[in-house]
Amino acid sequence: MELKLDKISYKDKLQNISYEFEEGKITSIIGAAGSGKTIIGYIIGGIIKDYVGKFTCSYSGRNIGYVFSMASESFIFKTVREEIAFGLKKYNYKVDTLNKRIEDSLRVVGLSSSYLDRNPFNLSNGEKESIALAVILALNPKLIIIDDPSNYLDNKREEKLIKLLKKLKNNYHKTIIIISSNLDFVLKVTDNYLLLKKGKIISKGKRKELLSCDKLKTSGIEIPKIIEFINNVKKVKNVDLELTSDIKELMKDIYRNVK
Amino acid sequence: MEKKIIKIKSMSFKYDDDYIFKNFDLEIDPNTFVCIVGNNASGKSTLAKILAGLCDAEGYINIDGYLLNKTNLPRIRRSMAVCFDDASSHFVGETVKDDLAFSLENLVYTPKEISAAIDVISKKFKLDDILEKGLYELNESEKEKVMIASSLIYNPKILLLDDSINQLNSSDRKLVLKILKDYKKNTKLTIILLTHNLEDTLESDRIIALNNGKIIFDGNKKEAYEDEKFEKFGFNLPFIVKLSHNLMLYNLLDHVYFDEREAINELWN
Repeated sequence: MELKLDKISYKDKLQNISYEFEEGKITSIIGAAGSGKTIIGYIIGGIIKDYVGKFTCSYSGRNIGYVFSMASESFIFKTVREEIAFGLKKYNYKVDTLNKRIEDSLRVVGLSSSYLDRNPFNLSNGEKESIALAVILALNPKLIIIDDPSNYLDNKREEKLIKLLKKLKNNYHKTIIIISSNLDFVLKVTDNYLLLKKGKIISKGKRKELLSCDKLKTSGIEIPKIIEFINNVKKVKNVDLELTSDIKELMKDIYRNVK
Repeated sequence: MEKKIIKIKSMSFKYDDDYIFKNFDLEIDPNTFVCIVGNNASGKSTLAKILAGLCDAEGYINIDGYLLNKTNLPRIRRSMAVCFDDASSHFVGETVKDDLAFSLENLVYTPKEISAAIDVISKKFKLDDILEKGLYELNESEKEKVMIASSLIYNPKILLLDDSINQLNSSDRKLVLKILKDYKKNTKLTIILLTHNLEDTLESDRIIALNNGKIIFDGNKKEAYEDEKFEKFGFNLPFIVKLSHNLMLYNLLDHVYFDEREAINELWN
């Protein structure tokens, strides 16, 4: 499967974006509000077509699952069951198979079948996000694009989502694209990243390289407190602590350093 | 005793047959910065909708001296500005400038007064470059900034923010938090911020934790973070609090720090 952006530009929003997404991996498109990250998602998802440049994508139709940033904006039905069933209807599943798929996809995102008859509009933002993910997983897409998944998720739901994304990648070989400005979240889950600012890629690489990326500071995204702390220790005390996103690693380093 | 600016007594509310709140009580003092924290489905957004008059609850609710009901709602809205999590749906004008003017026009300000008020708020929020822009030309951070600016422009006594500072980029976030604190000091604003991000609570005077429509903690940040109970409630502790607790185990710190600089100075003095 191929997914490649070659010198893509779009209005004044994107400039000369070239990137090849790795199949079966999690890639995060990160950047502050207005950086153009969602536009890249729209191009990959086929929502924006009047871009300039060459876009190669061997995924199409139901192989692409898209979770939008305001999850609830995609809801149209009064029950969660109808919401999930909607995408499946045109594939003429038998009633039993259909129901099983609906229940399975709900279970996968960590919600019980008691949600099936609830009104999606009355759920909390975190629950809505999970339902939106269940809706696309029911179709078993090969490529999953999730825009700003962590924004409204509490700690427990975020941990569950991270586990789920890793499982989808490792066990089902899904290609996953996360669009986010939450570095804390991205660092826990991603394999690759591309960092955007004002419509341009200012850095790209593997997860590890993201930690030490000097472009982060000027990108406008919130730097994780732990990285800020390590940088401040350097600035104020001229002490070099190892860059990490893991507080246990940081603790060991401080202990060694102070003792 | 000082008069409460918000008073809720024996309030109950249900969706379909499920009670979200049952006999819920809450009082808020004027001129405080209150953080109401709760995980998804804790009831915090429902509470915001009830206070904003969008959901009818049973029981006694008094906001700034007015009983919350249909008749008093316009008066209450004058006292209390409400921002939800979807900044786009707040936007009413053609441009940012119109949007800022909207509430003032409703309050029959003169054009001269309106333009002066926009100047002042636009300087504070650094909106000068986007005043002529429309909603779809703004990024998410700018939308949230405009929403909060439009709410503060008519000097409400209470500002209720329901997950409304989520999308701000790092510099805008610092700016907005500073502006909120300035308003609290200079105009005696009462701020009620609903959030699941405990980092926000470090700025507040009082923290209230909600779970299943019940208050499971009510106190200041010192009481909230003297131990790691908020982790048991299912939250991520603020980084500096988590770090302090870990370093206290190693005897490298002797209490919880809220200021990173102080903690660094203590560690490497």
